[in-house]
Amino acid sequence: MDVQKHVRFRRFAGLTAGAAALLLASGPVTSYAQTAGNPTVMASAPADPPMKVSARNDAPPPKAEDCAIVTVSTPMKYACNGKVYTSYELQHLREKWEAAHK
Amino acid sequence: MMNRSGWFEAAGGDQPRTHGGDVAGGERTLRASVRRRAFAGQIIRYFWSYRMKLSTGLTIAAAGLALFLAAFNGTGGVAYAQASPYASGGMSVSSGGLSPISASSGMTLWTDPATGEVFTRPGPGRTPLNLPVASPQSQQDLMQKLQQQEQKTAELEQQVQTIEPAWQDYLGSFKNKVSIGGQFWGDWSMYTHTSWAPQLLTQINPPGPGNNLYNSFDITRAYINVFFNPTSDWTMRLTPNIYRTTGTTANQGYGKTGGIGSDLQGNLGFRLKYGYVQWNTPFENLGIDPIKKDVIVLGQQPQPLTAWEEDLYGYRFVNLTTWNMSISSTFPGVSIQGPITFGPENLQYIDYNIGAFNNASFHALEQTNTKEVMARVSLYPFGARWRFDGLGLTTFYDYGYGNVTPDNLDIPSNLKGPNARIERLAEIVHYTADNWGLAFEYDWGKNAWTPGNQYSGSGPAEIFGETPSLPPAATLNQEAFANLASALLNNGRTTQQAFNLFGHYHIPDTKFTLFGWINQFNTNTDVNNNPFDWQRYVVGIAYQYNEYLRFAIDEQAILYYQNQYNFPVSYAKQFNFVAPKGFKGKTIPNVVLPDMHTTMVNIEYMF
Repeated sequence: MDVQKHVRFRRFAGLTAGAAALLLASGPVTSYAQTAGNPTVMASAPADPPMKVSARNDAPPPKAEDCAIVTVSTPMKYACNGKVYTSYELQHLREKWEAAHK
Repeated sequence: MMNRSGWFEAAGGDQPRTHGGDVAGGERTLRASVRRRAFAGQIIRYFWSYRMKLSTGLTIAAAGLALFLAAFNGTGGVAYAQASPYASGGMSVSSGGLSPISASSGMTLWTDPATGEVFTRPGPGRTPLNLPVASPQSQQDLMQKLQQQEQKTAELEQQVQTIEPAWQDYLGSFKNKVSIGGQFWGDWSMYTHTSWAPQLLTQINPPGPGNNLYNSFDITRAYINVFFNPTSDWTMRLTPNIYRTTGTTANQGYGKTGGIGSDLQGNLGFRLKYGYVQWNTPFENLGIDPIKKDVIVLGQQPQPLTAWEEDLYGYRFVNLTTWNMSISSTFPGVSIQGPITFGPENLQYIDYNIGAFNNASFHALEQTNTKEVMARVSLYPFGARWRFDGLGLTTFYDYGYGNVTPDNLDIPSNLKGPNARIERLAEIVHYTADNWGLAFEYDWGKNAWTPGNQYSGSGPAEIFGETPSLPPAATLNQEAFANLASALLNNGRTTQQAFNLFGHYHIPDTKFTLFGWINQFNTNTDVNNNPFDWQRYVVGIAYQYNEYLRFAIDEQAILYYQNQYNFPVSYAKQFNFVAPKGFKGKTIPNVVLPDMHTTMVNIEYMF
């Protein structure tokens, strides 16, 4: 019985370590140090109007799936490149950009 | 001509009695007559064009005057009237209508009171009838007044066009001060292997062993989020949510001989999940910039750990966080919370939430004379641009008591669980980037896991005081099992321990994200080979449809850690186990339950 339990625990520990290794190895680590040169904005600090940013360089706006979840509430909030957007803002940016690039 | 109402009608319409000598001749009189009729026509057109918009006394009077003039300068030249009543009535109307205008000249006619005839010159038996006539000056004044009135009307019309309707103003205020949203979580779950186990999601209660392939469509959350912000410094939140109505129900007699069944069992009802007010600016004017965004919350609110951790994980619509299987997410109380920021970029280095709450959660009646204190402090050593940005070190601690009235504490009882103190500790190391997140969590608890938690999904009937439909011997064994669960998990001196690893990884250039949660939970570390210890894994992939909508498909399981064995009664008695009446065995058979596996398809809609 002890041997079986030991095997189970090892399996659990292995799975844990494997998952950690997979996540750590799967992409570049984005830290604040690496992005410190960019304009940074706190979640509640007034941000530049995102539309101006996209209008300036015509880059597509951030997509919800590319962002981290900040709050699952009303409204849903996402963090993209250090800035926090509500779901409404992301939708508005996306639709505006799509309309301009039809 | 006056009609019976005292108003003038157009001349010639009512059999005028004419007398040749009475006709007023001469060019001057004719020109005046033409002018007056033209003027009267203007007044009528004016009156008609504005219909009844100019419903002022002046307008009515002007119209009356116009008709009066037209009547007295008609083709007949003589107006037939019943002098006594109508003349005075006519005069009366004219003077009323002319009141704003001075009649500088008058006209005298003669009337025979006996016949009521009116004449243009005196004669036997005739008496003078003095009538006012508007002079050119009066007409000019009238025109001026009408022009002024016309100008005022135009201004008024412009004002009316620019006035914002009241309902628009109301909606504008409503929009800025009230925010309404909703949250929906649903799933379809299919249990390839059923068992008695903790709840994987709230409102889900699958049956126990022997019901493989049980499946159901579920709603696990249906929030209506309403935020009121009448002023910027205070916010009120009201959030009703669904809950499954289960429990004792009774049918009801109906009339002398009838009855109706209970409809309470299994319904999804609504109850208040959150109801609080938040003071947004208690520290704004203290001149201490690092804490100026911190808030104070009063009411039924999220406790410091669970909602925060759900957001850190991001996939609460798929599975519960570990401590949330033990403690409710919501308590009535008071808390202070917020970030502490430093530096020119206002980076967050500390995020905290500290509060005092009822020992009873939001869905129970508070019975204690003590309170529960919970605190979470998250450190971000490199500074965070947003809530979870980068590396974070989080500590959560909870100290409270079982929810019983003070007079219960003196009652001798075999198991002290309900009277014992409760502690929960969580130490979490987490790292979050835009496209991935990973966290390791160590949990420690004291009296924080009871049979009620262990079997929040479903459990043996004897755990809930019900008698199973089993042969007597099997029923006795289940009763012994239930007593063992209480002895090991509710004896007032249990210790819990858990290890968790959870995270997610967004597959680049796709809408897909892999996520998972694995944990080991030791329900009482004081017990050797504790049959109630369990492991859990959640592995899935989520699809982000848009900013509001996500889907996920995942596999979840509760794996009981120990292999099957019989629990010695002698050892169980060290934990105040009491054998049920008639139980003679030296061991409690088959104390390890089978594993539970389920496949789920989940949906989240958040607005």
